[in-house]
Amino acid sequence: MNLKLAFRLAMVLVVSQVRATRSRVRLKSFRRPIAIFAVSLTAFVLAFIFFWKIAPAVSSVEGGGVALEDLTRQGLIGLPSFVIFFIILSGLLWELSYSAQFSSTDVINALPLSASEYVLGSSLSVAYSYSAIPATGLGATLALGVYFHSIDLWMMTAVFTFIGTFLGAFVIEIVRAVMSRTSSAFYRRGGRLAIAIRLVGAVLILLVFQLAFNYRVMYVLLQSVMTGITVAWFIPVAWPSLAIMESYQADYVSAFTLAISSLAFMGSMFWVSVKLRERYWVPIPASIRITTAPYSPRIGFLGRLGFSSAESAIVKKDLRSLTRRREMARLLAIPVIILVSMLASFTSSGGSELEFLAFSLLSFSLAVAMFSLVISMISIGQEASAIWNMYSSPIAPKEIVKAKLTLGFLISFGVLLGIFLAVGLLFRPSYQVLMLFFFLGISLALAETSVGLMVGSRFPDFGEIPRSRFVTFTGGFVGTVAGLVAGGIVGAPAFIYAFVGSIFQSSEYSLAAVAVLTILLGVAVSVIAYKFSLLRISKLLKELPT
Amino acid sequence: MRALSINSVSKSFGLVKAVQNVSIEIEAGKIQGVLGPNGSGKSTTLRMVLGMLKPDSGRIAVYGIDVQQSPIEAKRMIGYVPESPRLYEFLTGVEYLDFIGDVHGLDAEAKKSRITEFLEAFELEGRENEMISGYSQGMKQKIAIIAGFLHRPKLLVFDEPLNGLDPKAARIVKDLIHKLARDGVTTIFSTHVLEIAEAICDGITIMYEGRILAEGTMQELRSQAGMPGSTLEDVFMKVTGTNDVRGIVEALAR
Repeated sequence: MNLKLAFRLAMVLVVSQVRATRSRVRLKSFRRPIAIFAVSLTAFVLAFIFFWKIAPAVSSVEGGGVALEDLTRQGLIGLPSFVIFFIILSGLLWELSYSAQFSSTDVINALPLSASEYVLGSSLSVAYSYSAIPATGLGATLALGVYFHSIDLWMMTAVFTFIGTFLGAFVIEIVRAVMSRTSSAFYRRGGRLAIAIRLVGAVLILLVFQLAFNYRVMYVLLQSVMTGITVAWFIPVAWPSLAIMESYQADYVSAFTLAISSLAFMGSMFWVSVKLRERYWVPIPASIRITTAPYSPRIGFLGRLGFSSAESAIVKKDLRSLTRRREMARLLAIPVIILVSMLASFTSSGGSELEFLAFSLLSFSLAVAMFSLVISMISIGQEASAIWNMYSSPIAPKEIVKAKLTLGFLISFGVLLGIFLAVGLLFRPSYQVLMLFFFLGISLALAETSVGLMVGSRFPDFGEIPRSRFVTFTGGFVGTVAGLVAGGIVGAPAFIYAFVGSIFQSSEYSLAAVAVLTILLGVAVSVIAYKFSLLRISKLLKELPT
Repeated sequence: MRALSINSVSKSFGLVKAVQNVSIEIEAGKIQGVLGPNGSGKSTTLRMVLGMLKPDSGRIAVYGIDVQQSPIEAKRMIGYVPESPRLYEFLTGVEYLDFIGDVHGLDAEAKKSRITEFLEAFELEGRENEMISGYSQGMKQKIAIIAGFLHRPKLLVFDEPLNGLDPKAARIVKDLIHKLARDGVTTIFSTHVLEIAEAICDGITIMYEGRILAEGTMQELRSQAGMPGSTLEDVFMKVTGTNDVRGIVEALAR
């Protein structure tokens, strides 16, 4: 393996990402790979200073010192596992967005580059791109480690965090290859069933990988490990953290064994990713025959509801985009991953019935809100370089906004019904709880879809590059904040009713009033966001992005 | 009647002046070729005709309709094929054409007959229900060209339309442009293939570094260049100052 080539490739991948995602940043330094290092270093220093300053203050409070020391120990032990989880989650969300169509025609496939060089280069670029998170964790734990005289433990944490970062990056390469294999499996296959199986398969792969490296589950397991560690010994992803813990407990033989095992596990992940890359070197763009029936235009459901032919056409197109594009499967996996992983960790940690209902209300809201927000936020950017079709066609901005909102809401409503049925059947909550879920879900779907489109039309990312996100980094941040605010506003009556009014014991306010108020807030947020979206799309359509 | 009026149009991208004070007038039913080396401003000019790019100055009107003021009305009359068209790869060929028909408001009957006829003519029958992601470059180009013709536009704006087409499909496109011109449809297209421009254009505009260097019929261009009886290639090379390539070739061959 030519290490120099691998580093060169990593640099090219990082440069392409930095230039493409920060092309509008005026300061040139921020468009260079060094900017990522600068951000990570700043995050490390700031985290260090923050925790260095607050540690004495917290320790001076009665019981604060013990609690902070316990938190420090948890942080030092848990950081490598968290980093693995974070890299894999980010990878599943952002690293698989490069369509097979472009991956297959990449010049990289024609260059004399071995699979191991490619995997190492790509993993290096992933690790480097996400380095700010481990750096922040290391800065914080260093401050606390020094304060509590655990610098030796911190050094181990630093080494294993480094290992964890690469372990996560190698797993992403494995997922990338498995997804390519799934996609290629349907080459020249026929029918809508093939599309459905391909989609479900992709979602399942993402779910399985996410759960296998789930930090919440790991955290619960690690907590149980504090009293008996044998279970966690069988979970390779926990080995880096266990090695640190054994070292803390002065069991150096176990620590050494686990450290070697962690390295071996990382090596095996690299080996597997190289083998998979060798086998599925070039992804084959899907060539699926959808139907054999002769072409026959139809007036669809939306046409009958009074939508214009252009609006119906955009809705149909975007629905097909969502169900047929490999890079969109991750979005459909979001609500499933959130629900399953949160429920898994909650179930394993136990809790009272009231806590469980509160938790399911929160999970339910989060899954519906996040899905609606994301699906709508990417709806403009996902047009990618085919966006010229919108510019060259006689489509009014209002038609685009209406079509995008309609699809976003309809899909969110479908997901909402699915989650609603799952919660209803699995946990059989009371009629009041079910009604609360339903009205809250509809209002959240409406509000978040509109807010998502507002942000997506302001910060679209049409780039077709590795790690394209359909929405800019700034847009992702603004969207998350705006989504949280919108969710907070719309969800406030339901949450107040549920917990202050104690729906689970006695209700002070009328459920009907809460439902009406929730829907009114949802509509109000939606109308405001709609107006902004219309303004933004009108402005966007003035000139093709260059 | 004037089909297209490009009046003193300029466009810059940062410090790069892509198009400088360009004016082109085309009468209805005429075929105008726009020639020029890479980066001469041809595609930018054509995109401004569509309203996809906003001119820094100047005015463009399609059949009297100002493209900037009434973009939707103007786009209804235009059929556009971009250079290297990026289509919706996840749609099948027929679904893409159905989408284009819908956004142009074609009724179901017209859509069906037009799409079926074009697919047959361009020998895409049997592949129309496959996702575009599996198509070859030439097949994608055919789909883009069908989309350009689909809604019976009054003005065709084609940017390198024959790129990647097989000879039969290229011939169909050329003959169709000719036939439509007789029915009053106007065409403006850019090309690097000078033989095609010479064969089918009523008028030719030669652009270089964002400016118009020469304009007129083939006969007028020859006389402007002082090269009677010469080919368009000779005229083009002389006008754009790129006529002596022998030294370059010899250097490269070493």
